Amino acid sequence: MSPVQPLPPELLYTRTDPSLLRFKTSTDLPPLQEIIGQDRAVGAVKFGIGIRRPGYNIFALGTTGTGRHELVEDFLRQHAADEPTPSDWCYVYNFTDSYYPVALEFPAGSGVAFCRAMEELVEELYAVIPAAFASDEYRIRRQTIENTLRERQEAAYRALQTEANQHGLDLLRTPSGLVFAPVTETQEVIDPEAFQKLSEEEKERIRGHIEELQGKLQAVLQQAPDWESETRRDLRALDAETIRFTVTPLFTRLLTTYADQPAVQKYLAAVQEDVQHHFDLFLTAESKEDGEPSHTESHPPITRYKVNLLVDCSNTQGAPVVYEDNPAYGNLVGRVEYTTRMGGMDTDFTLIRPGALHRANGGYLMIDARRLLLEPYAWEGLKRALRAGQIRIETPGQMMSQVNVITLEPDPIPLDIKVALVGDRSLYYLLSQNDPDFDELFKVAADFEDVMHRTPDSQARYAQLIASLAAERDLRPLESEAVARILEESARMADDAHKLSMAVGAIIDLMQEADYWAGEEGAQTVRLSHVEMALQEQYHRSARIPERSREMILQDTVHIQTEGAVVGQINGLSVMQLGKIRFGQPTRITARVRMGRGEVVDIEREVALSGRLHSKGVLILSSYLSNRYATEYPLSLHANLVFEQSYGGVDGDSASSTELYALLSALAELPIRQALAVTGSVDQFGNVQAIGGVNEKIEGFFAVCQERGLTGEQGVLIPRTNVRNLMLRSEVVQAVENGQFAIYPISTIDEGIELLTGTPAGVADDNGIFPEGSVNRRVQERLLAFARRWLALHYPAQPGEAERNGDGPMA
Amino acid sequence: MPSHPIQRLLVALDGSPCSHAVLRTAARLAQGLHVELLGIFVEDQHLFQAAALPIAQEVGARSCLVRTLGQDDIARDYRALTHQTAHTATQVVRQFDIEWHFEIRRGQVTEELIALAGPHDLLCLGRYGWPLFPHRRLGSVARTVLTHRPAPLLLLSSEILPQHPIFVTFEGTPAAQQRLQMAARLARLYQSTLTVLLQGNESKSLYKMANTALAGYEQTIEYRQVDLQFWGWDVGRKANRTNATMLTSYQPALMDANPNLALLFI
Repeated sequence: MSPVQPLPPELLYTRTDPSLLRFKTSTDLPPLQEIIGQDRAVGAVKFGIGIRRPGYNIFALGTTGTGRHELVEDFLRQHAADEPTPSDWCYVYNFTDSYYPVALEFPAGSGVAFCRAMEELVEELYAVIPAAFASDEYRIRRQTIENTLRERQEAAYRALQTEANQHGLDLLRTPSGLVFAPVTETQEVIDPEAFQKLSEEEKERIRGHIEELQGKLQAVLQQAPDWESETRRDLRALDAETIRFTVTPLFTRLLTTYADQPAVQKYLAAVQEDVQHHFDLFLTAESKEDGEPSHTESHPPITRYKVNLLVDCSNTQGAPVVYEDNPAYGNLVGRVEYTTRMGGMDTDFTLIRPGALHRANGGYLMIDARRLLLEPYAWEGLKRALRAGQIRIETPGQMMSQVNVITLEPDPIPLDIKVALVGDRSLYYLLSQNDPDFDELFKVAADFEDVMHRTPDSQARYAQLIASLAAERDLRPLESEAVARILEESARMADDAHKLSMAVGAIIDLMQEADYWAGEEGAQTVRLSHVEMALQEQYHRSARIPERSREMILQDTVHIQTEGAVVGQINGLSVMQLGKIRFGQPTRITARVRMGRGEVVDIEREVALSGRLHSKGVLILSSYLSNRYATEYPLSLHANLVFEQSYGGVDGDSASSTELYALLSALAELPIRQALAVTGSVDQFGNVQAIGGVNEKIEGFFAVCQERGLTGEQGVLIPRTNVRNLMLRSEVVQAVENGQFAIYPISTIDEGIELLTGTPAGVADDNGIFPEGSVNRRVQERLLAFARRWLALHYPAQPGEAERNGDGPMA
Repeated sequence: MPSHPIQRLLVALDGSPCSHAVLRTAARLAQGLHVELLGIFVEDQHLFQAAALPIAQEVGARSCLVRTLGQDDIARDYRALTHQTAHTATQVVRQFDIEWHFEIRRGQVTEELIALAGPHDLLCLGRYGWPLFPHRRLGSVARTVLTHRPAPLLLLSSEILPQHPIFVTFEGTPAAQQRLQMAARLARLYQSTLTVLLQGNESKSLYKMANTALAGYEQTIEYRQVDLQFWGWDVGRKANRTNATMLTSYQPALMDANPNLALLFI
């Protein structure tokens, strides 16, 4: 096997040639008219907007910062501009049952006019009704009716009085009634003595007259309520006639205006009937008391005739596009507010408030999925509205049938809307898996790419995107070198030299920070140095922990050797993510072996400091050992693997090849070069596989070596399949160029162990025997020796028993 | 402006809602005019006499039931009524800073009132007594007293409202001068506009006289000409339109001008 060659510098960092961008500064570039790198998502959004079928709502999923909000909103706005403006909606009083306010629909922008018309109507009613009741005609007719009653009463009273007088009697008022008494000629009540002196005949005559008059008085008094009732009926009829003639012309005008809207006509008819029944609302208390209506300038508001304009599209062009930033339940489906009155809660239809669904009805509603799900009942409320195709304003308690409070139940409003949720992929799959309604209601998934291919053409368009972003944010023009550097950084963000990151948010941050440094320098344009400064400062601001970690290595508090050779010890590489920054650092991994029952003990796992992926990697390398070296005899090995001085736990399988190398070194008793560090996972066949964070890992080890002094012997073994991911910092590339550092692409464990030990790995012959002196032969022999001793110990005399135990004797 | 001749307000009380309104108005007036107030409740002697008759029977005003009536019944009813009237009157008068007395007399109501009232009294009566029929305009007592008129007479159906116009008829006589002064004083008390009604045919000269009499008066004064031919109707119409609260006049014919108008006859 020929030794693995280090990678040439040009494979460590794929540059973007500024000259190929063909502009001097970003202002030379035309603004980007299209959306780049998101063809799949764009197609999905277009489809979602175009298809007008129930359930075809959109879920824009992808990584934060990939421009999902902007893209979806831009598309929605473009599309919405050509669509018809939706209707206005009002809530009005329900004269049949005020518990159920009535919803009225008006053509876009007409709701305001209706509100105004109703206000004017009420103003008019305040003017004409008191005037009608103050008119001479009304007064005279009312007076006539009242006089009729009075005349009837007085005539009856006079008749009784006259008849009584004719019989020498007078009618007297007592505190609780009336009494007839005989009187003298001077109208004095006759005294009892005089009465006693009257003849019996006379007394009987008087008694007879009194009885007769009492009967008549009773008849009159019994008739009095009927007369009063009749008078009240006549007065009501007069009032009704007066009010009808007064208000009908006003309503006729309105009914003509809204002739083509039956619902409005029905409402106006109800208003007219109500006004006719409650005309006294338009008269002041004083005038009602006096029976003399009068119009006053400051009249009390009459709530029942108000119009609650819920949705006003008078300033809307095309269909509305609403982004609800705070998708609480009430903000979404609307709510009924309350006022306190006399210590209690009270409400009416004027306190109905619209939600985002009302404002976006007939158009589009965008919501951040995470925020929506964090709001209690909001997700259920949205689904309910979409399923039913109508907006029903209910309190959450009503919706869940949990609360029995007196509130309003406004008419539901038909819902015609396209909802676009924007969220993470994990959220999308979580909902898809756990909510049976989700797939029915959000049939369109717009999956946003995290990366795009890095080609000359895509880089040119990305440069245009950068130019547009700079122009939109009023940043200084970027020189082509600066743009090229941003493109390179984008590739590094993508973790792939052949891709560009779609995390536009991070690119914008970098541009803004570079612009800041350009400003600090007083430059007119953003140059390469400003971008470098921005990156350097970004790292510096977050580098406290990596620097502290490196310092501990340099102080030998954490033991990391970068020279010499040690059996069973190797430098592994790990990567840590702290906030926005990722950094790599070396970790010493050690392996110790002895005869045993075929166990490779991962100390990290034993103390629950490793994740499941790491444990899986350890099991894979166990399998590799037994399949490669001990197919014909038991793997009688007990090995311990340790991440030395690791206290925070490890995960991932990127150290599995490293652990295997340490194990092989321990078994072969061959020292490993400590100037090298290793990363990569391994499969059961010994193939080294790609890992993540390769750049940071290399840079982490490089930084330690650099501090201690580069020797030319130092380097990192990486999986060959990770070579395409390399976008290393310039100092690493420079060191490689100078022959002070090396990156080795490794395909197999044999390649790696050869490099690490300086001893050939060895290839097995047809009998499975490795060449003498090779690493694999030494491993094979060590394992064989363990097996023999194991068998000797456990099966000294009766090998048949060993067979039954599954550990057959060696040939 | 000469001081008014009123030295005492005499209020006839009978326990009816109307008489309570009269008492409230009288108490306010007494406070404003700085005079004492005497509340009079007259138990009708005729009723005691009628109840003493063996044939006396009462017909319930609302129930229409006929029941035997005795003097004890009348005495008991009057006891209850006077007690209640005195209690209500005390509650009303307590709100004002005035000197007041309450007397119960027995006799003929009109005679007692006429006998009590002197020229320096203002006799205050309800326009309606206990309603036999609710819409009957003027109680028989009020009519009789108005006929005899022993003193200035104030007839009310409800309280006088502040800041509502006070009407006064003015025909140029010395009595009219005195009435004008009284009306002006009341208008000031109630912060009301004083509306002087002048007879059409002599309105110019009457205006000059009234204007001279009211020289120095600081409240708003309006002069209106009234049609002699339709005197009552015209005054009533003007009172309605301006929401006037009181009419001061000498003519009993104006009694029916407006049922809600307070009438002051001087």
